[in-house]
Amino acid sequence: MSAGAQSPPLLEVRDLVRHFRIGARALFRRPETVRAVDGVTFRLDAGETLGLVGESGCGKSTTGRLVLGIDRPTSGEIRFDGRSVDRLPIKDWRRMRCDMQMVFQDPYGALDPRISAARQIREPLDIHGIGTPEERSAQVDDMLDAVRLPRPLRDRYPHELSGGQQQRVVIARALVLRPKLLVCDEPVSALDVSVQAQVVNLLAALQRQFGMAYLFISHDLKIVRHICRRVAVMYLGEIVETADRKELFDRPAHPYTQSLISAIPVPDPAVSRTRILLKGDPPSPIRMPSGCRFHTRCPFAEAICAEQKPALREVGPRHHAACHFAERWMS
Amino acid sequence: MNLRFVCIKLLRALVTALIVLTFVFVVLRLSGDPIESLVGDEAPPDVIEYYRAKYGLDRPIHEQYVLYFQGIARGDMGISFKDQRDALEVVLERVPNTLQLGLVSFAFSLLFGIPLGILAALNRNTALDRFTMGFAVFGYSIPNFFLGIILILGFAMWLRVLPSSGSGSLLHMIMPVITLGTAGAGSLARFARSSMLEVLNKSYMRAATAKGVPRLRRIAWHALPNAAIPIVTIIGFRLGDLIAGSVVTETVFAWPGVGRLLVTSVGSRDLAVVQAILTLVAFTMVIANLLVDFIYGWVDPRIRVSSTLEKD
Amino acid sequence: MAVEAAPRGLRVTPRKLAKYPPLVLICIGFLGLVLFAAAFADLVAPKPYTAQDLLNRLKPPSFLGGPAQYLFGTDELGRDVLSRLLYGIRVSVLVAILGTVIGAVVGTFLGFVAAHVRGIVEETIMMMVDVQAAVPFLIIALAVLAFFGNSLTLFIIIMGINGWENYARLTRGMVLSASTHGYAVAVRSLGAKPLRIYGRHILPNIASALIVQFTLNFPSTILLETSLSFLGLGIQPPLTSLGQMLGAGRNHLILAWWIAVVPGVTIFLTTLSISIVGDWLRDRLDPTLRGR
Repeated sequence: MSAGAQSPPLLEVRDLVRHFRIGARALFRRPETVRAVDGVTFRLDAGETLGLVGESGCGKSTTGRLVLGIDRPTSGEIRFDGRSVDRLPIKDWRRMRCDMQMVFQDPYGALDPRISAARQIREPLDIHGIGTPEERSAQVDDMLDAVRLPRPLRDRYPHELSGGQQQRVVIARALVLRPKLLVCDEPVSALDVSVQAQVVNLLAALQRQFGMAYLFISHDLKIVRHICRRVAVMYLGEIVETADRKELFDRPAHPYTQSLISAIPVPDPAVSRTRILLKGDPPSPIRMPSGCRFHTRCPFAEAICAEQKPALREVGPRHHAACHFAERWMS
Repeated sequence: MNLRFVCIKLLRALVTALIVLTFVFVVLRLSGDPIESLVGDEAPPDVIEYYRAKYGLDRPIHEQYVLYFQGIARGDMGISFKDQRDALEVVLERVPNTLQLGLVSFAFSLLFGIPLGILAALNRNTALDRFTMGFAVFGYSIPNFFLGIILILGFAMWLRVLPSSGSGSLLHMIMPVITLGTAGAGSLARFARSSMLEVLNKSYMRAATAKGVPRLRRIAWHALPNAAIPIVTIIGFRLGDLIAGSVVTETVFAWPGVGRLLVTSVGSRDLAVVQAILTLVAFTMVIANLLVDFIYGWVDPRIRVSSTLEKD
Repeated sequence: MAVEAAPRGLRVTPRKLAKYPPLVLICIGFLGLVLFAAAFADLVAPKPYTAQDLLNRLKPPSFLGGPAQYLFGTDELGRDVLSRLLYGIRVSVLVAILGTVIGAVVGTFLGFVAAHVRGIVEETIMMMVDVQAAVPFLIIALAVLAFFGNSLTLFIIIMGINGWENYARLTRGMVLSASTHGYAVAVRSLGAKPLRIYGRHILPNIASALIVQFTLNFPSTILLETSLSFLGLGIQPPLTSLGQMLGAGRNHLILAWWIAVVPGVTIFLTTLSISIVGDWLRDRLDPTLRGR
């Protein structure tokens, strides 16, 4: 364990569970449970960047919302700065917003269509009553500069801005309170590919500039590789592997991680890649496979995989994986 | 259309009916001595006593509530003190007249409104479109009592071709039907037009054109059935307007129907009759809405599916 | 043509007016006239509306050969139809505005409450909406008037209840959809309190739909009042309303048709104008809303 782990973590998530009951209010129908998040544990230190990766429906977005307290967990613990998030009275929760913020997937949807960019960025300051009106204006201008948004755009309405510009406004609005934690939920998925790189670079630069911690949620490994020091891979509501960036990409210990990595395009036609193809569709989060949840699609599954669920165990320095045969892959 | 859908709709209809009837019960109790209201103060004392006992006015309120509903189930809603007859009987006598006027007016609305709207949609932005839509706006904006009076002025008094009031012959029906049906025709025309336009713009219409389907068939087979779905719901709404409209229309033309009875009963405070009419209208509307819900569910497969996927 | 004095945005230039369809302008003009009449009836009316001139009963309008001082003729008691019309407009318009505003405020408020509190409160409110929508309101109004007698306060309350369910249903739907997606969630995660979210963010964004609903509801309220007054169950004498004039004028159709026709045309043109302006507003504010 490195020396930094001695100090208390900024964010600590333990056995987080979020189940949804669907069909509960309908007559003549038995309610079913969607196990969106099913026992997730991780920690995030101050200033650290953690990527949360997985395919659609694996529960990563739900985890992000639970961490912020926007959603209530079914069970489990979330501690931010030593304080419990999930059992917080609403007034304290609101005040905690100054320390933790979110950047959303759909930038246009996150902005009020009737308010100018500058006023949107100012809103958090107004809500929490921070500073005098002149100070707030100055802060807004500072943020506009920080996110590389030209000053003339400050009075434009969301629909008058491009997707990338809209997202910058969202980022500026999230950062104006100088939060300690920024949860980015697929912040570039809705943007054009050419703009994605710009925004990702911006997020990386801002992290270096302001030193806040990131929980970066994405299905795109290549973006996560660019920005995050550590990566956690999720599948069907559980974390199946966590490692430092280099370690994860050099020696992935879980077949799912391997398949994700193998799918990243390499810009060199001379390099041959063996793509690890998964069989079948992802199972429904209502009816989970027995044993290891991945065994139905795993190209290397053996009998034990269907019977016994592998625990998330340490397989290397700061490297955990949930596979019976992790060591096999790492050599 | 599955059982679950049917049951939910039935339940909602029942609860709605219950609430309306409870409303009538509460209002009746609140507005003074209900016996006097129901029977009139000129009734002989033994009749008053009989009703007082039957409605159990000395009993606690929840027992009265139960007795009230029992009365409705039996069809006993008091005595019309004007005629000294059973209120429900008085009302039911007039129902055929109102039905007659209502159904013919409804047919008028449909036969005029929908084709007009479709025609306008097919000839969009031409003079024909503007003219028919102008007509439609005119139709549903004009207050029905005013239309009735203008018609009477024109056809009964100046031209003298139609009788100005009463019922009995086909001629008597012409002006009331036009009066009652025009508003419906106007709003149906507008709705049919916009529904048709929406459908015409859909990609499956362009696909049909690309396939080489001839125009008439495209309209009849692809456009109309899809446009029909929202039109069916609007038809359901029209019923309420028709009932309200018949109140005024029957009064203007002295048509001996339930609407006119309601007005005269309100004027003479013949509350038993008012209560009977209210109850009847409530049942009619609830049943009609239920039928519309069922037809809608049957016609539009999307409704059947989505109602079973209710969100958490 | 240069009007230097007024600031640029406020100048009413022909070019600016040309952006509006002429029909809409005419309707807005007419409605302006109606509002003027409602506001200034006692200043503009040539005669008090109760003044009787028994020698000049049932005289035709002056432009049809009647006495010069009665522009729209006289009624059965020799009262000036024009003056009665102006006062009638005042009463009808006031009652309609009051009623519509009450309905809009109560309905919108209940819609917010339903969407915010959810649960049993929401179910109850929506059930009431269903009930109101199930039975034609004219019938209910008649029944209530029958049972409780006719007082002006009660009448205005009834006007207020007309149509509240549309606002409630609309508001609840829009608040619900706004609350689960988009900026409402975003602003909440900024730490805003519900009042701020509803008042500063959701309400301005749903306002245009509510305004459209207002223009749909207003004619219906006018028609409700005039219908009830026409039937003799609404505004009672000595107060006069447009519907009441029509109802009274019905008895003299043969001899003096103008007594009924003049208020009738006024009602008709008013509701027509509001419908046309409302349609145009709806097209302008949200072209995705379907025309009903």
